[in-house]
Amino acid sequence: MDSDTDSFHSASDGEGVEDAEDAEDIVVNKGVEIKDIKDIKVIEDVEVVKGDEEAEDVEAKNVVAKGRKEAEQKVVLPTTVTLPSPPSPNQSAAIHSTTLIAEQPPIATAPSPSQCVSEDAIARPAKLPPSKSVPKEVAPIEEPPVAEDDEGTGWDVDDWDEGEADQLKTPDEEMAPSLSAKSTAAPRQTTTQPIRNRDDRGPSTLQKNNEDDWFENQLGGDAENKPDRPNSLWEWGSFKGIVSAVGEGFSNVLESVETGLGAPTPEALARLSLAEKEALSKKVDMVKEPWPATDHDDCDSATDEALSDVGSEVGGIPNEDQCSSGYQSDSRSRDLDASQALSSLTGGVAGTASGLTGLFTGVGKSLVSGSLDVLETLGKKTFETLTVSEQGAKGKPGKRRLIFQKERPNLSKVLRELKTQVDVDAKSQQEEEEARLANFVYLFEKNEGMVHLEGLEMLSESCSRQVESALISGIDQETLDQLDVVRDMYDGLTDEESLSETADVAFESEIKNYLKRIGLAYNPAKLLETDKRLFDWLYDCQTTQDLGEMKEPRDLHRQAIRSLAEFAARCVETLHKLAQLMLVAGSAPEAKPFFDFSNTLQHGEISADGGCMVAALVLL
Amino acid sequence: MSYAYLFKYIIIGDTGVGKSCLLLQFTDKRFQPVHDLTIGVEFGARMITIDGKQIKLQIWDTAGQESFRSITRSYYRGAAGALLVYDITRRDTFNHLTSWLEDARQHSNSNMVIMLIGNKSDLEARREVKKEEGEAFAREHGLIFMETSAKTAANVEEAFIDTAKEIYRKIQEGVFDINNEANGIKLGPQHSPSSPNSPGGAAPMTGSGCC
Repeated sequence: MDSDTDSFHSASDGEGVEDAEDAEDIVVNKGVEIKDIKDIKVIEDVEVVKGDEEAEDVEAKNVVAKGRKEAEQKVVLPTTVTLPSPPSPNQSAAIHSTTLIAEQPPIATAPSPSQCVSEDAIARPAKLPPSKSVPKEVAPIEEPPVAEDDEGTGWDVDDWDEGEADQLKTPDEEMAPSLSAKSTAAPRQTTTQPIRNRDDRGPSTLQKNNEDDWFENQLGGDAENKPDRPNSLWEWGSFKGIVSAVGEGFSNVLESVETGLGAPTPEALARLSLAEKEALSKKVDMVKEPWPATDHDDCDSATDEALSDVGSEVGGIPNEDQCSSGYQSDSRSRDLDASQALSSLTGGVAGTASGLTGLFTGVGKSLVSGSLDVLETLGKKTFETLTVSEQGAKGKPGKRRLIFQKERPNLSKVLRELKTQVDVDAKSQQEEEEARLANFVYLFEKNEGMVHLEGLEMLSESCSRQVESALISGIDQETLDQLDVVRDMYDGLTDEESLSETADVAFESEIKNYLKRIGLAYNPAKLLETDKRLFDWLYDCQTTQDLGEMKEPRDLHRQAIRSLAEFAARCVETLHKLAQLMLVAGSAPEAKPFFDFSNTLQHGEISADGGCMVAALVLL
Repeated sequence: MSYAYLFKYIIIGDTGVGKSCLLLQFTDKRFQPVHDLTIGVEFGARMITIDGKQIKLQIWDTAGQESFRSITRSYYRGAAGALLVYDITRRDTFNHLTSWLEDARQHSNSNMVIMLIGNKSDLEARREVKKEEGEAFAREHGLIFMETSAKTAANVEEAFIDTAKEIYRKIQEGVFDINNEANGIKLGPQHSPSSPNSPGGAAPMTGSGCC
């Protein structure tokens, strides 16, 4: 033991010297460790699949081979390993490195091939070939009391359980924390007896997770507390403390790390042969080297569990305590610092991958969702600001329209407006039409009476100018006498007697008579036809009235106006034509028939104009 | 029926050149091969649309006979537009244009738009007056020129409407005083006519008689 411790001391010293540059070493270790974890994970998967000893052996061999290769390739080691040893469990039974320093990593890996890998990688048991040649000097080391190992593992398990309990807090567990803790421990109890013991002891030891206590224990060399073994566990604790302090997000990291280190299935472990277990235990002894980095702890946590069942049977790891204790006593503070730093760093680094990912995922998730919420709110607000609620049908709030959009016309409103407008238009149009139908001027104009009257007026004006000019220039007495006759005749026309005198005479015959007397080639067909038609209508109307059928007064009024306008227009036309013909004829016609004709037409003004024209013709 | 403006047209020209046929084609869109001699003046009317405005054209179709020449002069007054028509198959109708133009210029307002129309363009084989001669005459006297065919209705509408457009343009330019009916332009009725006049009431000419 002493020699061991001595050697350990020396080794530790040597390491201590090196640990002066621990930062670099740690860094290196960390780098390696991360890699290892990956490796472990991979191999574990394989193991689970195969699940039997052979497979495990094969795996172990492979791993060893891999480890060797790695060792060969990587000459630079964090620790100044002088005497390497075979790391593989199989080989470990036969070959044991004399130097613990060299042995440390392989021992840690011993329990399970996967861990072996990790240890290989970490500790660089590089000089494997030489280790093979090393004789079994480790035999005495295999004696260590099982209890210690148990304790050590127990610590590990405690931590493990605690960690699990902390991390695997499902809602159920939160409701019954104590239960959950037990439940997590329960499966292990069923499979492996020792675990229970550890569980029992766990809390007590955990309570001493105080560094001061730990120091005291170390200094006192209390065998029961075995702080050297827990050393790694302490670090676990501190690691966990740091982790918990870091935040909830990092719990995921821890979980991943722990699961990564993954405990082998109890069944698989149970199948391990006794010899192997012994060999493993021996290696475990050697594991307790002065290099208690977290990687060691990690391995321990898994290794211990694996060995837990074997614990009591397999020989203790006697020098482990001493080694570690000795190492730690020498380089306590350094180790503590290093280990803590390592643990935190490793945890941090190991967590960086998943933890940071988780952190970022969480942050990113919240960021994205939050941003989306903000955007949605903004959009809603913008929409509400830019739009105005429109009055929908039946007063209900309808769609929203943009404020700068013109108010959309309401269909029903538009239809109503159109209907009223059409009604108004139709009404006004109808009224207009009715007014027209009863309007003499309109009807007279429509029958060209107005144009003819205009033309007649123009002719009359023209003749009047000629008469005046003739009068000014002087005319002979005969002409003046004729003009006097015409004037007298014209004056006589205004007498009512003369008007009434000719009222009863048959219109058609009288007109023809007058035209014959006038002697102008004018066919009064239009005038006569109109007179006949209108008289016929009057006759029919009177007949129906006599029969008792009443006519609408308004219709009668309209018809009267229409008839009058039409007849007047025809009369004016006739006079206009007669005047033109008379003027064209160039010879003065008889004045009397013109006046009579005009009288017959019962239009005083026309007669007057006719008289004027006759006078003008007389003058001509 | 309501209109914004009423333009008075007068159609003048030698007898038999197709004045009445042009009017018939324009107002009734029909052609009457044999037409009675016009006594004095006949009337036609039609609504057209220019620049979105309804314009009523009141057309005075005068007799082309020399005997009526004296009375037709009486009708020039108050015409906004005149269609001076000649027959492209009769050189003499073209030769008389100058006298007709003198009459029109003498008895109408100076702003009257005159459209020179070479009618019977469908009788190309019997053409005696080249189109270029008509164009030259129109250019010389500041007239609008157009060859038409009352038979085929070629350019008939255009002749009437282009004249109306020219009158309308002059109105827009302020050349015509639309409030002076002597220019041959009347504003349409602004509102429906008042109550019907009695026959005796329609005596605006009472004081206009001579003597």
